[in-house]
Amino acid sequence: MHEFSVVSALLDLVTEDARKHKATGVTTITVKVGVMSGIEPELFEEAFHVCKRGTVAETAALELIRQPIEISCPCGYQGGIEGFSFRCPKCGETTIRVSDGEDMILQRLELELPD
Amino acid sequence: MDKDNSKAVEDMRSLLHKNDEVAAQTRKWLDSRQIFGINLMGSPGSGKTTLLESLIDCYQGDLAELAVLEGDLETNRDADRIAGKGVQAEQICTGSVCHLSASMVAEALEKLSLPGVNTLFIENVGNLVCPSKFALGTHLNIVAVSVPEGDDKPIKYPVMIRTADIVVITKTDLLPYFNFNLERCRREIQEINPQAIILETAATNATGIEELWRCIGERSC
Ligand SMILES: Nc1nc2c(ncn2[C@@H]2O[C@H](COP(=O)(O)OP(=O)(O)O)[C@@H](O)[C@H]2O)c(=O)[nH]1
Ligand SMILES: [Mg+2]
Ligand SMILES: [Zn+2]
Repeated sequence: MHEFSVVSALLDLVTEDARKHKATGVTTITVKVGVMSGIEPELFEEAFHVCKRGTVAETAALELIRQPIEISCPCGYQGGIEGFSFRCPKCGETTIRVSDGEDMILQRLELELPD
Repeated sequence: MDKDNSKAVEDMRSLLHKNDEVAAQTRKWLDSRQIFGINLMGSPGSGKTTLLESLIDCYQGDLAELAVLEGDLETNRDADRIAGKGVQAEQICTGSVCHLSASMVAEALEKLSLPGVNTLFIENVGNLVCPSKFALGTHLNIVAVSVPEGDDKPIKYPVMIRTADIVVITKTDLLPYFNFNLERCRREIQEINPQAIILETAATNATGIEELWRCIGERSC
């Protein structure tokens, strides 16, 4: 259950952003979660609702975007893979670049500013 | 279409940004001392500490060149096992945290005496899920998967397999007693992580340990 560690890291980043923009609150937090990021979205959401209490994101909604694996291949192919097979589905090459789907990114924040 | 008192901000940082920063500092610190760091991961009981003991037994150089950090939820038992072999070891007890983080490692490194050390092993908390994305600043990831766990573990835990530079299939002396399809297990590891080196070890008679040392040596120079 490392979702708690990751959520508390998320809240640190959000708090930092809120402070930088002198925000009084946060309405929405959008996180991109790769299918191979090791994060279970349900556990992540649960952990978020526990951990957000007492932070600037206390009333924030969490929006999770599931990101599939994206690769690019020397043959020119760009797109997904089949299952967990990390090779180019077009030419079979295994020396590919994984461009998305393995990480978790804080994409966007809706901040409330003072009147 | 911002309302007067609301503002949208793009951040785009990884949620692991802070951990990654500390890990990058640790990496620099190890590099400046010419220490090669290894993060050893795998389920509880997969044979990680035993693998370290075997590596120590087969080490050709001076044992003062090795150091070990042991991550566990509780007890100093694994660090004591390593110290019993004549290698300096520090225990990190994480309490309830199911993985090591870069800052836990950075803190524990201060307790080791590192002059003369060229290889640092970090045994992560036994867990096939949580440690995989927390960089520690090490140079090499080794993942241990043991025969009694079953040959389906790599395909069921692909995120961990993706992080491996070397996957060690441990306890192969037990193959006759388990329904473990070695060929399928190797094939599935290869599909998930075509660049990973796959080795087999048995601690009972030190099978594969020299080859593991050789692979570590090739990666460290
Ligand atoms: N038969 C056999 N048993 C092993 C081998 N490696 C480890 N074990 C046993 O597996 C158990 C767990 O080993 P340990 O190294 O403590 O696992 P860790 O939790 O991953 O550090 C112990 O009882 C070991 O003696 C092996 O290669 N062969
Ligand atoms: Mg152990
Ligand atoms: Zn291709």
